[in-house]
Amino acid sequence: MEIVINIDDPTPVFTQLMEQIKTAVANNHLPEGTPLPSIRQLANDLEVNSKTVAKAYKLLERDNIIQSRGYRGSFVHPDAKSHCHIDLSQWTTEMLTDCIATLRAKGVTDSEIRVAFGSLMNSKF
Amino acid sequence: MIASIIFYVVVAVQLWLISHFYANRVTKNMQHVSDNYSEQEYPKLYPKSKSHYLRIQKLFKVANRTVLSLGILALSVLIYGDITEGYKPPNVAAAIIFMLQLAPFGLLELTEYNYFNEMRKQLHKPTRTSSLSRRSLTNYLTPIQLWLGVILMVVAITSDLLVHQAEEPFLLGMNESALYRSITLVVCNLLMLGIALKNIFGKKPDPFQHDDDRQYQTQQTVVTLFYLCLCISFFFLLKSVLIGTGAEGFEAVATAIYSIVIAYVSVGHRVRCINLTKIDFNAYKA
Repeated sequence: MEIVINIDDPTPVFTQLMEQIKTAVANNHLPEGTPLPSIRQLANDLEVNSKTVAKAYKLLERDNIIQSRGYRGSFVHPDAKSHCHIDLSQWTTEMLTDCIATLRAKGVTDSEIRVAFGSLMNSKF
Repeated sequence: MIASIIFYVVVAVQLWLISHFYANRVTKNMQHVSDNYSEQEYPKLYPKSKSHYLRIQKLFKVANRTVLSLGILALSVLIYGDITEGYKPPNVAAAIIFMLQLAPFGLLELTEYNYFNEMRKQLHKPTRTSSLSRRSLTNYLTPIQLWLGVILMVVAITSDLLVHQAEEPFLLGMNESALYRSITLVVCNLLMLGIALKNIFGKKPDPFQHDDDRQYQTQQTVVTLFYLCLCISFFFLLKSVLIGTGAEGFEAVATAIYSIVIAYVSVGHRVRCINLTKIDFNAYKA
């Protein structure tokens, strides 16, 4: 299974990596439990910063597509296939759209929404 | 006398093998590439002008012929000194000639390093590919081979320390020079391991190389490094056995044979494993 990234593509490299790994899992190219290349190996092969690959791996781990087993490295999650179609970014966009629509219906202005959102994001939860 | 004769024969073979046979094979491979892959059709193969690489090829050829001539001269002087004055060949003679013989190959490696750097400057490829399969040292060497390397190293160190135990104890009853030799052997093995790991996990030196070619090249490099580790450990073991059995007279012969074996498994293996017809040269097209 080969991965191809395009550094001129407006889509961030870590997103390209995540999408392709997810597609590989969904298409059974990467069965559950398959060991994945180390961050260093993938970063060197693709000639990208290792932090970019680490970020992609971290987000894939959050989405339960891969699991880290300490020094043994990263493996495809046992339930990865069922988690492949969950898109947290899309879900976040949908939730925020609903929330903004509700606030607008109540008469809250866009600038008030922005200020409230900004201060909430800047405050420590 | 027998040891001296064997020594001269082995050094002569060493001179022929490295500076003539392998040097010619390497030159022929370089010639094959420059003759069959033109600068116009395969511009990525020549980051500098083709004439620059032809000059390097010529220099390599001249350097090997010079080393061969110097080697023959040194061997003649040693034989003459032995026949007329009865001088015995020094133990390090074969090693010095060997180092001299390896110099053109070492310089060629350095040129190759520059060559790949020049290639990398030409790299303006927006798409990059990688395999999603994990590589590890055990993809290239079996666990048995790895353990064999470690065991042979431990046996060589133990044997050397035991043979020299009685001579001037330095630290915990160990002889000073034997201790330094042991440290050198461990450092050598770790260096080989480091180079192997860099080949497996590091950036590919040739940015245009096809992934299958890279895989094959890494395999050959790791195997070569493994054999080198075995040879170095075995040489240490052999030397301690020769000293332990009172056969120091054969030390010079052992060094000369060791040089040949090292050349056979390093330069020789590299020359043998290169099959130019199997390399995907399309990767270097415009």
